[in-house]
Amino acid sequence: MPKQSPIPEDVDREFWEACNEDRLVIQYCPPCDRLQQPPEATCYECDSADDLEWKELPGRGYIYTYAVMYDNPVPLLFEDQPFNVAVVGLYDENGNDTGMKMLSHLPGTPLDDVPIGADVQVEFEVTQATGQKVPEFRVVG
Amino acid sequence: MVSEVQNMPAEWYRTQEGLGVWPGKGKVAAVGVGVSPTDRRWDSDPQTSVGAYALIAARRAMEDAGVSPDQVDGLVVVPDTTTGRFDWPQPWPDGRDIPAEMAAAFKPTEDERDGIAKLSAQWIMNNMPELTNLKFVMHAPGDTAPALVAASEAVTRGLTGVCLVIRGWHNFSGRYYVGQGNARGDTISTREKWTTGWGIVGVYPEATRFQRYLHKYGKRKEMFANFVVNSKKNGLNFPEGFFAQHRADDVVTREDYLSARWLAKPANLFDADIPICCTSAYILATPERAADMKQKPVYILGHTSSTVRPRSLQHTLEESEEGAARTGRLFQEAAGVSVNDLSFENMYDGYGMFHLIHLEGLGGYAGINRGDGLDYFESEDISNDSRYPISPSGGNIGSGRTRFWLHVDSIQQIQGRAGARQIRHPAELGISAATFPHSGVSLVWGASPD
Repeated sequence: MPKQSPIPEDVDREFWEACNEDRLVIQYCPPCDRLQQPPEATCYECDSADDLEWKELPGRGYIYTYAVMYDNPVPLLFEDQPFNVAVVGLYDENGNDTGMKMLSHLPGTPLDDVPIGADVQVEFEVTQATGQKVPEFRVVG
Repeated sequence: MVSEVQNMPAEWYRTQEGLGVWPGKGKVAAVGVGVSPTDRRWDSDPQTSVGAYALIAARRAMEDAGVSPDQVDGLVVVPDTTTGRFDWPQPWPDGRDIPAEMAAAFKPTEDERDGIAKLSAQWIMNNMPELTNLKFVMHAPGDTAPALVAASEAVTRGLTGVCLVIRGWHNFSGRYYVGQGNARGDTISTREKWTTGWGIVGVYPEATRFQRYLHKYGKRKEMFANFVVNSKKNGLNFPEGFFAQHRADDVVTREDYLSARWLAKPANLFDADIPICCTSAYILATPERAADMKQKPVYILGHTSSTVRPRSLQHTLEESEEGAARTGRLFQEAAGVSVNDLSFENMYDGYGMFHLIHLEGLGGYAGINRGDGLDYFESEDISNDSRYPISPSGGNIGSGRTRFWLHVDSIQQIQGRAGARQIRHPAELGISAATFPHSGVSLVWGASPD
């Protein structure tokens, strides 16, 4: 599916640069041992920007929930309606739920036939306007 | 008369558990209510603008309470009035300069949007010269519930004895959020790149929480139908509401609900409210001042504020449930009542599924607990004739997006003048709350100050 190209900004530039290298990174505050997504200017636990860094995740996760969009606000996506949009939960390197969530169109999953709880794996799609890659997730065995 | 407009102090909200009974319990009462006409969209006539409607609502509230303008010494206004159309300037009709027409019809402020796409207390004061004795003026953030909390706190703190509260909504032509702001174009910036970029909009987060709810508790979408049908019926019995005024024959049946077009499945057209233009106003007063007024005082026994910060992208169902449960505990503590004492509940519903989570969070209204709500909707009488009416106002679903029908109805129910919506069981204690289960403000209303 076509997507708008995200324009990297200071707060999330490293995330998008990692996407272009087919890596999934999430903002991390070591003193708080806390991930946060979407990225923020400061850690929302300690409110400090001093120690924020980026942590690479394996890109595995699960489908927490989903909806089927029949009436979306983005003209670029009008022709593809209806389409799945899932909320994906991300696992860490040990397979534990990080609590971090991202959206996905679930490429390869039939419309409204979405297995809640199923495992997914990240892949990266090129967007048309700028070539910026964005993360997507595909259901895996 | 004061000219300084204060902002509502954050510490006026009751956010913490363990504070005990609200010190203001029974020391403030709602007496009068005024509601403007309703419109689906603004027709660009200054006389139907949010400003004009605010003047109508305010004057109706004072008349309803039986107070003269010079008796009003407090004013609380919610400046934000948008229903979802936020681009400015608007594409006005050819040959017209709407801000200039507004300025000719009313006394403007320095902001040309005022009275059209926002509503400041200064605009009200400019255009209600009859309010000659104001000594307290405040802006409340966001919505009617915070505004009513602001007025309640102001009255109980002695800052005002008779307070006028105004909350208005404007709705311009055009689709809700569609093609606006970050949604248009082939690139996307700001935090919306994590959300809008995937083609989601307002209803999506709640649709996904509802999907999760159905999965988690093993329920079916169809089990929500009776709630919507009941809300629509209550809305048609709300003379001040949009549907009663404009679509009185628009009865929604279970079959209508089940065949409605999808917005974000499992949310369909009838799960969402419709944006409208409408303004409401209220007179709150000390019990002493209220005693001389025209309507029966409805005492505010407590208020709460419950906010749960999302761990990540959007609130999960579990975070939403946590926020609702917190409201349930807080309101009982603040008002010194039990959930079993409630005569009715008017929790928020604009999306309808909000109401389900709010209701389950109350802590046992009608015996409903977490995961029980849909079974109750499907198998029990939820009408206003039952012992436990569900959303007797009909809420946003029944009368359009204002987030204030639930407060108006709570006052009218306890005053015994809710007309065809009047609940059969004696209306002695009720709760209204808005907006979201994970972030909302509630008020507890009583026929008695105790």
